[in-house]
Amino acid sequence: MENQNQYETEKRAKDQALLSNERKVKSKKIIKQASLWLSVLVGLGLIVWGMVIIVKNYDPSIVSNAVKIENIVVSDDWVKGDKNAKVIIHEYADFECPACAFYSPIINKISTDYGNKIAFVYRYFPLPSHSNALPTAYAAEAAGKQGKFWEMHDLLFLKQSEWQSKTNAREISIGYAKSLGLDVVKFSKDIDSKEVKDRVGRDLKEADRTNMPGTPTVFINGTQIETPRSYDEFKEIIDKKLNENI
Amino acid sequence: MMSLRKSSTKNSMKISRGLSFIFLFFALVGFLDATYLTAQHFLGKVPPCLVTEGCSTVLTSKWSEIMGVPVSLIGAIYYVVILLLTIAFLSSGKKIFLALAIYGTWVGFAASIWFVGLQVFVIKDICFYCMISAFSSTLLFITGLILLKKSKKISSKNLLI
Repeated sequence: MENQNQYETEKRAKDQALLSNERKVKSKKIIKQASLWLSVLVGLGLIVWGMVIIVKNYDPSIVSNAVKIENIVVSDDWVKGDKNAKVIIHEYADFECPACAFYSPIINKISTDYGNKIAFVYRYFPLPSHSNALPTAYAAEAAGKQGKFWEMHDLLFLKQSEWQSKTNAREISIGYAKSLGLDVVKFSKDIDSKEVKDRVGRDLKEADRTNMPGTPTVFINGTQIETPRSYDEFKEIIDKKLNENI
Repeated sequence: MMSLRKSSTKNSMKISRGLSFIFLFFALVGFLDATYLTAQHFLGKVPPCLVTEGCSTVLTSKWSEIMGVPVSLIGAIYYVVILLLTIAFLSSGKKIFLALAIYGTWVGFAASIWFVGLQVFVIKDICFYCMISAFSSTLLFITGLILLKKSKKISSKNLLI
């Protein structure tokens, strides 16, 4: 009888030890799992936080290896605003480049809002990969000869999808000239003239000489900036420049 | 014979685990990329485009949002789900998690085909970051297919034993 009792007590003790061991293993497992998922969550949170910091601290006005050009406005440059303004913006663009078309209304709004506080200079950078970049640049220059450069500039960007992949961009531009009320005979002569081609070629040479990375390339007072992608971003950069050294 | 089979099954399991880590890596790349774009979106910025030149056009196009929700945010959530499912598989060994992740990549792959198509044929501009996402979801899909093949082999071997 006593033996039986002793056996049962021993068995109970063994069972309890086993149970507590099992519990220990189980709780260890739970702790392991919990710490794994906690570190996963923290890791993901850190990634999101890191990305926000990176994006927030990204200063669009700083470009590594920024291209520099002479900060001047030439007499036959296409300029909006005051040539002698404190802030001069040069844009090297291509009428066939979609990013330039996207950018064009932003620039227009900037020039309207800042007026004579800044000068905005448009320069040609027809990329060789765009087959209609040259004929449209010639069209803008030829329209400029009749005082409607900016009108043609806006129209070409606005209707970019209309002529972008066509083979008759020259003829389409003549149609635009007509719609702008230009002297079409003179316009047709001008787009093929050496004078117009040389003027476009001059800007292109400068872009090639300075190794500009692509279109649009934007400069503030002669130093390339990362192209601001929104009106607010652009405004921020200009305001900063306007307030410098005051 | 049986032990041989067991060891080959074990090896296949090891390969599956190894592949799952590769799976995890691609999901992480996709997550980093999509999170970066989502942060850009909500902070009102467009990232500087590397290699290609269409980031602003693509990321500001009407296809960059679905009912007001940026596509990049949906992408980030997708990659997080794949990531968590893979980690759940690796930590618990339960195949259902891996299966869900693998079948989930089919959705991601289909979405990638759609978005690459949009860029090439409709917007006609390529956004570098979107292509990174397309690449990672394609690689996830391929790794998923390999994993699926492997796990089918394992289960048929298990039946033999």
